[in-house]
Amino acid sequence: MYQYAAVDQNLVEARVKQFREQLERYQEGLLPEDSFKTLRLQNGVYIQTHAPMLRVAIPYGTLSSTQLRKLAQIARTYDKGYGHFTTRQNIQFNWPTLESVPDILEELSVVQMHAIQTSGNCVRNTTTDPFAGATVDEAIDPRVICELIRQWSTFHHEYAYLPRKFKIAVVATELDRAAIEVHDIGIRLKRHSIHGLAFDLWVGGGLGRTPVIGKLLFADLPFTELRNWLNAVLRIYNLYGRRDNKYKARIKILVNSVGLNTFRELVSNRYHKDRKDALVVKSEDVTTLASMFQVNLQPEPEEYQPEIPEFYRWYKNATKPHRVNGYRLVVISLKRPDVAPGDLSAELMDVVASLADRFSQSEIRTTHDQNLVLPHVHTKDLFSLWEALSNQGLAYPNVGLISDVIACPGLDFCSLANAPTLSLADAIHQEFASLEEQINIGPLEIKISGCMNACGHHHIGHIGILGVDKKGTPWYQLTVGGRDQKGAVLGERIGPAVEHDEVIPLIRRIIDRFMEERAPNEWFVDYVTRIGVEPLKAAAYAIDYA
Amino acid sequence: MPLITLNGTVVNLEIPKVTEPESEGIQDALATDVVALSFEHANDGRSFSWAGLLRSEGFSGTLIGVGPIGLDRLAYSFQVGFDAVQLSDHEYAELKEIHLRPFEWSYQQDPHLTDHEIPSP
Repeated sequence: MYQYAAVDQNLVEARVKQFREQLERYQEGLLPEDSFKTLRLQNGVYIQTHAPMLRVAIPYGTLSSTQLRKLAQIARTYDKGYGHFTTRQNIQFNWPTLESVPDILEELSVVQMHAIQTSGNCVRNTTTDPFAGATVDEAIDPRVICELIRQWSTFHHEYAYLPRKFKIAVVATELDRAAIEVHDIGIRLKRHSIHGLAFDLWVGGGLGRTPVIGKLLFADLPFTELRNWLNAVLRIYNLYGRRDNKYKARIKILVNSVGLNTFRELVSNRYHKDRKDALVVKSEDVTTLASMFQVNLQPEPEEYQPEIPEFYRWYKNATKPHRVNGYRLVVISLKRPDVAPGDLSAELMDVVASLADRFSQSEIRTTHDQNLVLPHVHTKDLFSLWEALSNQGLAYPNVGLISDVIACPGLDFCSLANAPTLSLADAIHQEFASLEEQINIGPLEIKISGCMNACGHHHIGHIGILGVDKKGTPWYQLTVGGRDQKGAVLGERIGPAVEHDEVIPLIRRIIDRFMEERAPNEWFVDYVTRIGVEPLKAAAYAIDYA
Repeated sequence: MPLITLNGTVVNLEIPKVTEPESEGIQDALATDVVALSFEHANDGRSFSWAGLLRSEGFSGTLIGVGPIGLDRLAYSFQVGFDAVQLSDHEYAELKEIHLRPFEWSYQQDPHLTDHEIPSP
């Protein structure tokens, strides 16, 4: 993992002092509400329905066991004993007091953590493949690049007050586990015959009110020029992005309004005029970072696994191939009945931290679909790990299945939401309580957002659910056929919005039709692509066209 | 309203008419000795990029920031290339060292990891 140098530590500690002073000025009435709002957001503090919410950064989704224990302690001391893992691989605490935030930030700084730029109109936490450094066929560990971006974008004097928030995602494999095509900037790293390491630069993707799939701005750029290209894109966005309407302020709107070719020309001109040698990535820096992320594992033969059906089912669902023979990646589903998606109690955080110490080089990952990963588990330890997880209710093998639902906190917590989301996630668990049935249905991603801001990424769910307001009552709009991987697709509306209690019957009818008509082993999303929305609409709304 | 420099001292400079590089073009600005760029509100950061752009195009004259910049954006303003920044009288009365230099160091001034002091693991 990346270890802070003295300068990194100095910076996070200075940030705590800075925020403490800003809060004091606000409390003394010396800082207007509006100005303070911007400052608190850049420190991850929202004012929510019940209390302030603090979003803590987990850079590129990598946590040490020490850091996870600190999060558990914060949950116990300052919150109600739990935390919520988000779709940007961060964690949120929903119940701290505003006065306690500087103390929480100080506690975080002790374990090299912070809440810097987890909100506000700035460059946010760069997300990446939760399997980074452990999966096969990577051009490089993408966290090396994420760390370079983290440093470059932290307290960037020019880009701390952008027209709107700015999200970057990085992958280094063909398979896209970070949804780069729905980010303001998406970076795909690849090996290149001339540059050694190169990247494709995608721009202008995003969800929210106006969902847009990103566009390929440039392909095969030399990796060493990464920061110079980022600088050119951000400068053009900051100069020309709209500030008169927050719903039209994201870079996707700028790209669409000037057109991709003009945007490309603007960026290219700036790149050539503003390029600085100082921003060129040095190979020594890459080597230093890569060595920090490197975990030394020796290839070993896979060890025999006991033939216990429950264990085998979990093994098949929740463990994934590792780059080193003899090891597996293990996904811990945080989608259990009666628990909000992504929530984890302080006690269970401590349990996971201990398991990471015992079985996974003290390392944990957070995923953009709100689960956790133990990235380096030896196959000989899998059974013990499964037993330990099972004892804590953490071995539910529904990873990637219909009950592995992504949901924003919704109306229960968020002041922006139109509709509850957590009750729907729970209803899905109840309706599809049989694991056998879930496995038969196969891979199916349901994503739920409580409002148009799309924090639950509903547009790219195989089934997307959006909470809408109808004369003060929450209703839900369903989409089908969305995808977030390479060649991302936005889901299509299946028909009119329905009331809360109608959502599950509607999904049930869709699934029943799918199970009747699917080709052998066909995924739900491929089935939707094959047959189109109309026949499903008929099934969903029980329309008889005959 | 006082104009503050990097050291927190007040300077007496005549503020020229605010430049709007987007409509006026940047060539005129580059040929001027003193350029004033405006921030429309406390969240507006466009002029940070106009300042950055003018500096990277070789502007070596005096750059002045006007509008509601506030104490909490002073450090960014000087870092991006402003020579002097306007504060309200009330803000000037509150001005402290932490506003001028909240951080001793920045990743942007020194973007190279290998130049940092990395402790051995």
